[in-house]
Amino acid sequence: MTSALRQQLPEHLDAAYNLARWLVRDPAAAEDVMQDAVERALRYAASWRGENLRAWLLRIVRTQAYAWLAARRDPTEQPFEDGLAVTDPAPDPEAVLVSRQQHRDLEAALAALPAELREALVLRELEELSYREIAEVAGIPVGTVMSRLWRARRALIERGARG
Amino acid sequence: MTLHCDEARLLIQAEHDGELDAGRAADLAAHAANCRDCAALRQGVGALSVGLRALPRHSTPDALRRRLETRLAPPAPARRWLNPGSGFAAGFALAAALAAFIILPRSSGDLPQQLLNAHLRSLQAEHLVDVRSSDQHQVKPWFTGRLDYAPQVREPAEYPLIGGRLDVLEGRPVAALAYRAMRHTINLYVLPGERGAETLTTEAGFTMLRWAQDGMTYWAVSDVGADTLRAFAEAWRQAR
Repeated sequence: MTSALRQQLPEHLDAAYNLARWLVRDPAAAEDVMQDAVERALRYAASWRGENLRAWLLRIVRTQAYAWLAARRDPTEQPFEDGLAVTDPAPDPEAVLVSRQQHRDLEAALAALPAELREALVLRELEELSYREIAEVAGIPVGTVMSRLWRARRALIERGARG
Repeated sequence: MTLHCDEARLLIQAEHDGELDAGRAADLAAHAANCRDCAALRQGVGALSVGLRALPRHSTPDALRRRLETRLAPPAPARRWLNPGSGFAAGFALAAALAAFIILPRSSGDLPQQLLNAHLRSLQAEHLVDVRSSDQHQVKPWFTGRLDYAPQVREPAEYPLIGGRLDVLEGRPVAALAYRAMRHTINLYVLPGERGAETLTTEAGFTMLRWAQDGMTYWAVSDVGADTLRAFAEAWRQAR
């Protein structure tokens, strides 16, 4: 199994790096996270039983990225609590547009989200993972995936409405 | 049925993410046609998505990729082999089964409605089977320890077994077996206890056939016609 893993892992490196970059928000740190994640992947290769390798690798990358964030105690990283707040009033969609300035604003707004919301949105919209895959990567129930995605989207849509 | 906006919002998101079954999509379309807020939100989620997908997807820097690929190169001399057991990952499959019913839980409804929803859900990408095997001797043991009864798994002639999965009906986990019938999928639900004589139900273009056998109730659900479903049931009963 290890040789199959060695063979197939390279095709998932971009997805892994993208997640690392968005989570730690720093190119050098993302490289460290990736190096550590690949070492871990090789060390725990036996625990991969042929399931979705991308999700398996992303879960390792995520663990490493959170370890890095925790070690740094990034002061901009707000502690995050899951809630079921999905009943807020509908926001104004007109505000979400894609001009150049808004593009930068959106990037900054995504980067400013709590890591748990940021990763859910990055995995869904940029990496196109299914709810189930995201649940697998983040180690949370699908219902929590849905509520995190909703909170992330609501925050970004409302921010667009304000700006 | 009537949807409230609170519920519609989650459906809007699920629809956008390709995680909504056909029945719920129809509910949502009906609601959005009459609710400006929800129609606007639907656009908002779409517009946000366009913005997000235009953001940079960071690809691995070349130097890092070279380092990692060197590290991943097989240690010489490499032995290449394929594990015949790959594709069977019990832990992941169980998690997936649990996740499958968490998606869009629906207020109970009657059993045929639940069966239809479960069938539609199973047809979504990657939801059809937790254990993929055409061999009953791999599928049957998979259920052991996941259910408090032992479903029979058979291989009827001309209806290849695709695999098995757990679904939740009436609030409890039950066995679902997926079979191929020409280009169609037949889901066969196996529930403990007998519940009366054979019954044929059709709903929204789907056919459901119930029969009792050996202390179990079987429900076959598919978009094939009644005759085909009856033929499947007969083949199943005669198979071993």
